[in-house]
Order: sequence, then C-alpha cells, then structure tokens
Amino acid sequence: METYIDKAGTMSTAETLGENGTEANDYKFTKLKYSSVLKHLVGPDKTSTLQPGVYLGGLPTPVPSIYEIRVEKVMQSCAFKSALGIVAGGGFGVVMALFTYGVESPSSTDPSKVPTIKETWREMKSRMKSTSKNFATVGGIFSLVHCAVETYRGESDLQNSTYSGFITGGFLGIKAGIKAGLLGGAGFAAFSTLIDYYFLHR
Amino acid sequence: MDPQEAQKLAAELEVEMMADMYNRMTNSCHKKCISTRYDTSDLEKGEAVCIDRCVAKYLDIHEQIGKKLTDMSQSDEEAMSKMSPNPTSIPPNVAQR
Repeated sequence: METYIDKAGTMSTAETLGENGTEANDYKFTKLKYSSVLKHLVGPDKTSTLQPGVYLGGLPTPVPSIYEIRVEKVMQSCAFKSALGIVAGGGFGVVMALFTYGVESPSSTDPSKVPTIKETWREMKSRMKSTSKNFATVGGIFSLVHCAVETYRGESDLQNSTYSGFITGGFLGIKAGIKAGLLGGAGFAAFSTLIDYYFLHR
Repeated sequence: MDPQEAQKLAAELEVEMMADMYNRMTNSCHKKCISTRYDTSDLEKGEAVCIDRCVAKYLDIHEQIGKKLTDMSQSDEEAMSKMSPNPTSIPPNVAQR
C-alpha cells in the first residue's frame, strides 16, 4: 500500500482515492524532496519547537535548576574530593597519634618521673602535627589522582585505585630513590586495591 | 515542494525523530558507559563524565550525518530532475501492481 502526498499536503493511501483506487485522475504527484524536509530537521536551519521540559521517552523527569547543577558540579569536582581527602587524612592522623602515644613512650623523660600534663600535651601536639601532615598529604594526593584518573578513563572500576595507589606510593617513596619509589608504589597500589575490593564485595 | 509544506512536514516528523533518537542514544550510551554491576544508586564521577561525552558525540554525529544526507539527497534530486522534469502520470512499475 503506497501513500501519496497531494498538492494540499495531506497524505492519503490508495483506499481513500475513489472506487477504483488506481485511477490516474484521483491524485497528483508532487516531488517529495527529502532534502528540503531534512533541512528543517537537522543542520543549521533547524526550527525546533521542542522545549527542554518535553517528556521524551515517556518519563516525566523534572529539569534540574541551575543551582542544583552548580552544587552537583562542585560536589563531584576533583578539587573538592582532594579537599575531603586532606581533611579525612588529617583527622585520621590525629587519632593515630593519640592512640600510638601510649604505645611508644616519650624520649625526653626517664621512666621514674611521671610527666606533667603540659609536657605530655606538648609531646602529643608535635606528634599529632607530624602524623596528621603525613596522612593528609597521602589522602589528598590519593583522592586527587584517583579523581583525575577516573575522569580521564571515563570508567568507575577497581583499576582506578590501582593506578592512583601506584602514583601515590611512588610519590612518597621517590625521595629514597627510584627502586624504593617503585616498590612503595606497588605496595600502595596493592593495598588500595585490596581495600576497595573489600568495600565493593563486602 | 513549498518551504511551508516542508516545514509543516518537518514539524510533524520532528517529535517522532527526537523520541527515536532519544531512545537509541539512551540505549547506546547506557551500554557503553554504565557497568552491569550496581553498587550505588548515584552516578559515579566516571560514569557521569562518560555519559556527557557520549551524548555530545551522539548529537554531533547526528548533525553531521544529517547534513551529509541532505547534501546527498539534494544532488540526487538535481540529477533526477534533469532526467525526467515533470512526472504527471503514474510510473509504469507502480501502475502494473
């Protein structure tokens, strides 16, 4: 069954054309120029009447406001994630210093003399500063590299942790030479992959 | 065909074209970008980035191929009109059906 377009622009099939559907006088041919129709559908002369809120695919989803989009962008950005890593690393370093102070006795006093609160606090403060700085740099670099690798690859799987762990470990160990850097990188990569695997397949 | 007729026809066809394109684009980008294992309900950063790139590429391809198709059909029509200027009767292969 063929459809024809007459001069008025109405499409009609062969059945509506009169008793003998194939009479030559019942319809007239016009050239259906695909190019002239296509020009209005794609390309620079598009005259689209569809608005962004039109429900394509049948599902009415609300269009997000510009504020929502901005906040989402900030939350997902690499800078924010590395800031989170720095804060988390710093906090973890402080807690670690508090717990390990009791295990490792301070060097400045001898065992018989009980240290005063001021001296204890001074010791703890210096330990907290150093450990929190170390852990904060580790956390910040790991988060930043993880986010950058994920953005570059466009995938979210375990390999991102491996690559970013390797780079972080290498960065930490490179001061002691190339071999130490490679070894440290491999170890850190394995460690971070294991941790993420545990969190993934709990 | 008048430009007005063409535009009216384009407006009718556009909704269907956009819906079809949206469905195909969704299926294709979902297959490419989102892994089959679901850990969270939110999109990860890698997946969001992948979807942005997939949609941009799809729309770009759609426009470029559309332009190429327009040029091709235009040259085809010019060649056809040179061969047979005004078809006023039923073509013989249609009439014998």
